[in-house]
Amino acid sequence: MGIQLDQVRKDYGRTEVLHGVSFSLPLDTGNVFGLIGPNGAGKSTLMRLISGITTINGGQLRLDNQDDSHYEKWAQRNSLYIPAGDRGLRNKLTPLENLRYFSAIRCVPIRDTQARMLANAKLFDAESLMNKEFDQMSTGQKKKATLLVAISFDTPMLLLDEPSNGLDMSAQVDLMKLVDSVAKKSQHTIILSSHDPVLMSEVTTQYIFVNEGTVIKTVNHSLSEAELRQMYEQLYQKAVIR
Amino acid sequence: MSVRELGTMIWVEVTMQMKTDIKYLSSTVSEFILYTFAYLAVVIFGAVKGMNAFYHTNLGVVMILIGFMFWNMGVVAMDESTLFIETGARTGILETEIQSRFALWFIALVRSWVTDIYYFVYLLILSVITAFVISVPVLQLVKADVLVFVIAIISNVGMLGIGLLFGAGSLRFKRVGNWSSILQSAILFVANVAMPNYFGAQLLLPFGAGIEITRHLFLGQPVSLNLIGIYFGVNVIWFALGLVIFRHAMQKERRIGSFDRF
Repeated sequence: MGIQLDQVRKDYGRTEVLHGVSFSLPLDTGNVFGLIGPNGAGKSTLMRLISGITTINGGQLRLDNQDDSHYEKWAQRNSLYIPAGDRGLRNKLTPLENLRYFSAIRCVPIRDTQARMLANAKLFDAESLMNKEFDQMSTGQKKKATLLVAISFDTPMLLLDEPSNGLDMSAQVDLMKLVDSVAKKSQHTIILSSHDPVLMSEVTTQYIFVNEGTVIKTVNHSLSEAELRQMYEQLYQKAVIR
Repeated sequence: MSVRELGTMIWVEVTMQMKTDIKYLSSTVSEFILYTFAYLAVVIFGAVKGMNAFYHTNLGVVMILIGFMFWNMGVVAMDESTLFIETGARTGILETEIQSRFALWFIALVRSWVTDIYYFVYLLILSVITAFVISVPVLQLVKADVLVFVIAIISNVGMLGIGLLFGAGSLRFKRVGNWSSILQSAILFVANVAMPNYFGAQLLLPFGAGIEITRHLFLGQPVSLNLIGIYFGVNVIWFALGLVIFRHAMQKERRIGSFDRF
């Protein structure tokens, strides 16, 4: 089972921002895909398309060899996109209450998601956040809470847009453990976009390099941090801070 | 989606919205104060004598109160659907809500029911105070409250439709809340809230015919089938219009937008 993008185009208004993107994403393999590219390359745009939030303006986006029209429905039920930044949950509600709300509107059993969230909170050292109101949290805590809610849905495909932004060093290590454990244990597919070479080398198993709305390279194996930095410098002709 | 899942969604939304509203207590209280000032304004400047003459009664203030209650519950329903989209997009939860199994308008509708329950309690208190001030039996005004609450279920759906029109606007123009407030204030003074149903165009508003039906029922006067037909028809049209335009705006945003440009 997998997702195929074939010459996918996407417009924002009259501006084309993705120009014929093609690649495939195998599902149910426990793979973590890393979307890499400079700001404005099209990573978030791609993630929104894959999660079914937005629709394509050209080309084909489909599940296996099914009709295009099936994809949107499938994506809305089987994927979850978490936007970048410290947003994504309802203010004045705790992560547990947010989880109840989002479980109810996604028609997922609340008891199951709650059990997963409490288990993941232990792993992520975030038990103290479970009953704290979202708007009372720091940026890093908000990010943690949003991630914990998202991961608890156990969706076959999880799309995390710059998940490590705003996290302190120990939380970044916890995030790596969490992503790794979710992918391996559940065999779900995780798509990550990040500018953090450590995260991308530690947990990512395949890479999609994007630049100016096109895919410029795909790599089907893990890269070390040094290899990743070197490849980034070669592909984008930009120096990377070491 | 099963009936059980639908029931769970409604129950969870009710409890979460109540928790949220309680935590935003100061804002909720300030809204109540504002609405009370609006009520005083319509009672003071409203056509009490005109009401008495038009409905052949001496309960002109109660006629205004009925109009005000419809307006109040209607604007709350309208605000809920507009703010649901606007705030959701700003706080980044709209993306997750789009991926839900329920249509966005349905979640907004459930949320507006919850808020309407508080406003019912608020209007009940306002009615009791009014009863003491104008020396009318409290039970008589409670009867008016219950009539409004039941009959306004229909007009709230129409007002939700207007809210969806603004919600569609917020997808395109981002912040439209102020425009919505201006419209709500204008409606208060041109609708048959503080005056009788002098001209037919007032019935084109979602709660216009509802106010007339309730006033007649309260006074024990006959209600024409024509009026009931207008009430249902107008609200179906407003809701359908709101839904069609909102869905179009959503599809357009999904096609050439990104939901994150707030």
